[in-house]
Amino acid sequence: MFAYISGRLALSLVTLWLVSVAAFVLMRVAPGDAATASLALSPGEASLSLDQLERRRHELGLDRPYVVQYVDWMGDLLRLDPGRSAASGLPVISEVRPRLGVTMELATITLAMVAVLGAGSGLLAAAARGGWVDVFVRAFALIGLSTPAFWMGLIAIIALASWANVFVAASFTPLWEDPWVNLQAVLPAAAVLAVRPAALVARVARSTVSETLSQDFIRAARARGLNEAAVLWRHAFRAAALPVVTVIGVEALFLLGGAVAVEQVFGLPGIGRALVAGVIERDYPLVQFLLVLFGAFAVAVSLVVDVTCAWLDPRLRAV
Amino acid sequence: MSGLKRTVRKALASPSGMAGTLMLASLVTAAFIVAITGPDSAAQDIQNRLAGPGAGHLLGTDQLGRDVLARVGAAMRGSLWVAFAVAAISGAAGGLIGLASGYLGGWADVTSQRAVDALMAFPVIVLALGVVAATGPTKTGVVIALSVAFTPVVARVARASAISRRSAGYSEAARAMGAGPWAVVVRHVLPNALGPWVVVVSTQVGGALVAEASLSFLGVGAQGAGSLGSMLGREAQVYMSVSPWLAIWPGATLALTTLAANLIGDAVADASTTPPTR
Repeated sequence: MFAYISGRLALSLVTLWLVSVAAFVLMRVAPGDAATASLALSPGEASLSLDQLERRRHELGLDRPYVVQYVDWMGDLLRLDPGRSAASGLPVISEVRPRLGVTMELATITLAMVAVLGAGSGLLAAAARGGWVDVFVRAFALIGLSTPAFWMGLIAIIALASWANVFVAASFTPLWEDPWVNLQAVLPAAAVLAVRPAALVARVARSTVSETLSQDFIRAARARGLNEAAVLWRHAFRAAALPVVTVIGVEALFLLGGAVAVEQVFGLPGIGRALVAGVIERDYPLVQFLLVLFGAFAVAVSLVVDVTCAWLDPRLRAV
Repeated sequence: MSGLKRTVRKALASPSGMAGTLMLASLVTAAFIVAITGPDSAAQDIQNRLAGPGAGHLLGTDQLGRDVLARVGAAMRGSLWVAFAVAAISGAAGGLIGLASGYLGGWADVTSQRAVDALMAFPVIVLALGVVAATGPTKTGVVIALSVAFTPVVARVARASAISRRSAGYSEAARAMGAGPWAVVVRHVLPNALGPWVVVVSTQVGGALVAEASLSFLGVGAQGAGSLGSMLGREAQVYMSVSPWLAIWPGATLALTTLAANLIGDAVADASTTPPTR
């Protein structure tokens, strides 16, 4: 197990390094650079002279060779000081930090919903195949896979306002200031974000559990007189945990992407919204750091999933 | 090649394949009928702003009095065009990269696999946003961005099937008879590796539809009636509480189109994984 984890960790570090290279290269392919972006945004200047531009480039160190710039940026990144935002002039890290908590809250609540609803309904559907839970899960999977979360969010906001008299506030309130107002925006956002992954998890749980239920050791457990709940929980579900964990891991990555649009719909000032604003404002230092942050999340999630799978199934521990 | 033909025929004959094809065909036909006979999607009927569905405007009008049906039709054509372009470009690029790295092996393989790993670490939308930052927020930019974001998956699948076909009996036999590497790839590996490639490319279309809509919705893609996503954007959101139809029609069209594409993709995947009829 130790050898497996350290091998997997080394591979993650390589991927993480390549993620940072990809982010760096993308922002260098972009037309213009942080210098043009920061100067273009200063008000009252219709055009800027080449001389000004050159001076700014020199100030920002953009006239140095790319390799030097990359190594320098890497050093800054490791010291958690990835430069200043071209749009606001503030340090990138202080722009990102308050937003990180918002996205974390959204992702945590969504994942909890996915795990409980997805695995629970999949288990129920498998226990009573052809029953109403089963039909429901299959219909939901089809809808969840084809309906973008951001559109479900728009519809949910309209429906909540006109039928339940619940209005999602235009301005965001942090959880610790007023949990009730905060959750009025975050809970529906998490719910629409959870539909697709929950449906997929339910589908996978349903098929693996029902496959397991037809096996001999389940018949043996029933023959020993175990009640149905114990058979389902202690035997069938454990055997089905592996594919479910894998799907949750893959969907966690998808969820991070879906959260970008859903944050926009529900007015949540998370890192996804910062990324969109950064792209539109051509705030290259900010976008570059956020790309690394998203990549690092994803690498961490797939590491956790792989290690969990290896822990659940010793056969997977061979590197 | 016959195996591939059989897969496609079988997929189209299956219930979900038939349903998907029927849905997609009728949606596209409807969009073209609207484009030919319907009102201009940019024409403004100021007297009837924010009208509900009715006789004059079948699906109602938006905040500027533009016909929603005409706009939804135009937007669907725009979104579908991008989705198919992305599936085609990422399919070709990913197929070539995967085939080359799988067949050649060695350093080419290791390098391209690590690059694929790194690109697959980003959520699709996040990577696409990063590329859009470089290409600029236009329709072409979105096609390039989504093609880059969708290529790694295709490359991975194509590589896996190229590796398994490389050492298959027929490839060994061809090599033993003196066929060069190029001939082995073109005559033996490529035709037999097409199955999994078709499956992954056909499942990309639905994903590309949703991804394109998300980017346009976020304001970094085609604008106005160029995409179903941008019809749901900031401009329209202001009026959605007054006239929910503005949210319902483009979104429902997007969901139905994606559903049709996903049904076809699933049917193709099913047809290729079920063992040949006994």
